[in-house]
Amino acid sequence: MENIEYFRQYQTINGVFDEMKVAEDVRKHYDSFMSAFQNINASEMTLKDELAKKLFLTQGITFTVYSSGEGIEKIFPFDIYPRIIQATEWDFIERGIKQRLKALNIFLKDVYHQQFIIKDGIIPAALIYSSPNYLREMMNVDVPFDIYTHISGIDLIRDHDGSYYVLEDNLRTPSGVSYMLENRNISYRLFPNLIPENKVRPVSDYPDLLMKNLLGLGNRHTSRPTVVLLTPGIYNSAYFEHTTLARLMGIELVEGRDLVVDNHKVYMRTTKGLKKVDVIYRRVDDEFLDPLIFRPDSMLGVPGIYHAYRKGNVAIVNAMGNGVADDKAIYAYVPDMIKYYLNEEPILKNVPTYRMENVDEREYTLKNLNNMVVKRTNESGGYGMLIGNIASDQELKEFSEEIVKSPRQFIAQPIISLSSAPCYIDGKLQPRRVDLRPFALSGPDGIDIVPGGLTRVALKEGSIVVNSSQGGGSKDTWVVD
Amino acid sequence: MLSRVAENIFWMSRYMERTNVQLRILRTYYIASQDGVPFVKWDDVFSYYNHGKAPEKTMSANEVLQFILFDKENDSSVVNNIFRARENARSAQDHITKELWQCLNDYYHLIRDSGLQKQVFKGDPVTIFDQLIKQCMLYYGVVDISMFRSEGFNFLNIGKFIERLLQCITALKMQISRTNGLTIESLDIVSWRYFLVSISGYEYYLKANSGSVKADLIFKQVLYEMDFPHSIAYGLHQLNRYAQRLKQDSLEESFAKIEFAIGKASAILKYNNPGADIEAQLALLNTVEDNIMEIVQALNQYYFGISN
Repeated sequence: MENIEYFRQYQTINGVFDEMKVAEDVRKHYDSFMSAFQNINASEMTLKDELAKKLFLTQGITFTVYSSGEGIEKIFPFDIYPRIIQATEWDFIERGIKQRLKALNIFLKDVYHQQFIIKDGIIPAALIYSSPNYLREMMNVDVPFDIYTHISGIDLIRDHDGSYYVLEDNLRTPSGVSYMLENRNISYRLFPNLIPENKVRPVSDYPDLLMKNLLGLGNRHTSRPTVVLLTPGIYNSAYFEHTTLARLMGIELVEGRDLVVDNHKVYMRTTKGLKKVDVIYRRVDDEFLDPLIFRPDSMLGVPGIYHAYRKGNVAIVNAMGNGVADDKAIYAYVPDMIKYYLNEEPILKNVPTYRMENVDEREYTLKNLNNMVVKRTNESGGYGMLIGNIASDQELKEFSEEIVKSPRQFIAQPIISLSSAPCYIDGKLQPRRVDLRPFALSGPDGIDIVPGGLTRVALKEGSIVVNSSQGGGSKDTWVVD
Repeated sequence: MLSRVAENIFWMSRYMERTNVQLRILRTYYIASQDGVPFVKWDDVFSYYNHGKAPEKTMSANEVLQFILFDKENDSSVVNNIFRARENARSAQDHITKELWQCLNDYYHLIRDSGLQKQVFKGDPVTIFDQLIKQCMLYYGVVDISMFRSEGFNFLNIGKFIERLLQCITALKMQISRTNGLTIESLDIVSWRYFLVSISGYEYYLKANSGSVKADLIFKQVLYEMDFPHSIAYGLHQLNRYAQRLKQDSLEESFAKIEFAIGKASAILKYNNPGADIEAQLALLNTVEDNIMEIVQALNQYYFGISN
């Protein structure tokens, strides 16, 4: 391998686990792809890179930023070099995620019903009730099959020793699955035959699996329940994903204004009058879902939908109130949930997390702030975060003050050196930090996890922030035997 | 299907048909101006696309074309038509095919291409028209080949023919007013010839009426010829055809309203004969146009859920 130009030029980052390179050699599962890659010269690779950009643009695989009423299409940055995972490692990840999701589902059922986990002192009641996403409206609301997290994205990272950690659970409206599907479509255009030759596990089953689960939630005596996807509309940056999923599943894409609740049942306005809706896959956040119950200024929701849901006349995916389980402060207790509910040791590790409400943990964090990552417990998208070792003194000071003022809003974690993976940038292979978001589907028949998922990459050199809203991109993810 | 989506598809189709017809008329008009015919008045064209307001200073053909084709501040510009067609398609993506969405996306990127826009002043405007018209043809081809023949397809065609009817009626009224419905002067003959070219009707006219250009014959072709795809009779016939296909997916009351409105427009066309009297011709065209607007109102009220 030393003689291959791309490989020779590839310099790993000190102290960082590299997905491809170990010592001076290629890891076995990258071998086949790297061998094929080295046969493509630089100008051909540039053409492939340009082809990828063109395909993304012409096929509309973009996210839209609206400015002056006109939608500005931005290509979701994509790196052509796939991230490759060994099947044995993937099996480990799969088992870990299934275990974790099982526990989280039971937690959600428990916390909105008998609350045994609070009564047995495992999680403090104040922590639950102070979570802004804990919905009192969901107390004692029964959901079909006791499934709360039908669709979840569990973010994983690798530390310097190669071990996986769960960075966070996304249990509300996780996004990115359409890019996972489209990345694969782009990959076989860029690298013909390599996917079957590497025996990469397919991802295209996702829409069928999801549809099967959604249909299973309908409770009318009908051969085909009516399933819809509720989108905030064309101005939402993830609208492309909503249309892709609706098209792949063959379901109606609706907005709040298309739905009406009558006598606690949900209907959609069609050219042939009102048609009853049985299952709603919603991509609208909880607080915007029902202006009669939550935010009254919401134009995205459906007045009365909460009561229809409470009465069991419509199934909503994901359930309302899941935010309490992906609250970053409650994340620290997930290993305890696994032990408590399942009587098992957690398969996947949590990143050590310090809660700022705990005096000792807060003092420790403030003393070591420049070696910590501090996050707001209910933000997403990489916003509201402090990365201690690159923050300015002013930022450190401001965060310290905020932590002391409202400690419940923050958690801190040691800086994990995210693993790196090769990216094709400026004609060379260069290491960039990555994470992994596998997508899991929970249904009446169990939990299915699509092999691979979305690898997000921090395309800026030196950055560890992979979120697309802050300069991140994605890669195709291959699980190979 | 969802009322909102039906409306989106209807309007996507209307904007695309409007683009196609307007590009052809403008192309012909531009070529006529290159031939030096005096009836081409670019200030009038500007006013037409500027809500009747005349330009502040006399504009050249290129300046007017820039305004009509590419000016985003001009509400009626072709770029805004494409933009609106695309936005409507975006909202109805689950009811149109991926190829159709990509085609509209490509059109959007084409018309925003600065290289194309430069040709208005530095190159050949006819080339611009040809490229844009070709993209329209591609759109029609993609619709024909890829769109499933379901409710969405019916609303798409209803929108297309309504727009075509309205555009052709407007063009014919302007032509009659411009020439007083006459073909006595040689200039009138040239004007009518160009008019036929602009609505893709010249070759058809020549086959049926070789040797002479007569306003009353042209009038008859544009109003009554069933084999001419831009005639009003053909448009109403197709409108009725696609409306009938909606019957099985409609409430009885809704379908009855649409059927009545279309029938009324067809009857007015069929049972009125204005002859060579231009006032009567214009009155007939106005009446048919009003009735087509009633069809649109009925669609809004009974299918799209838009109250008046």
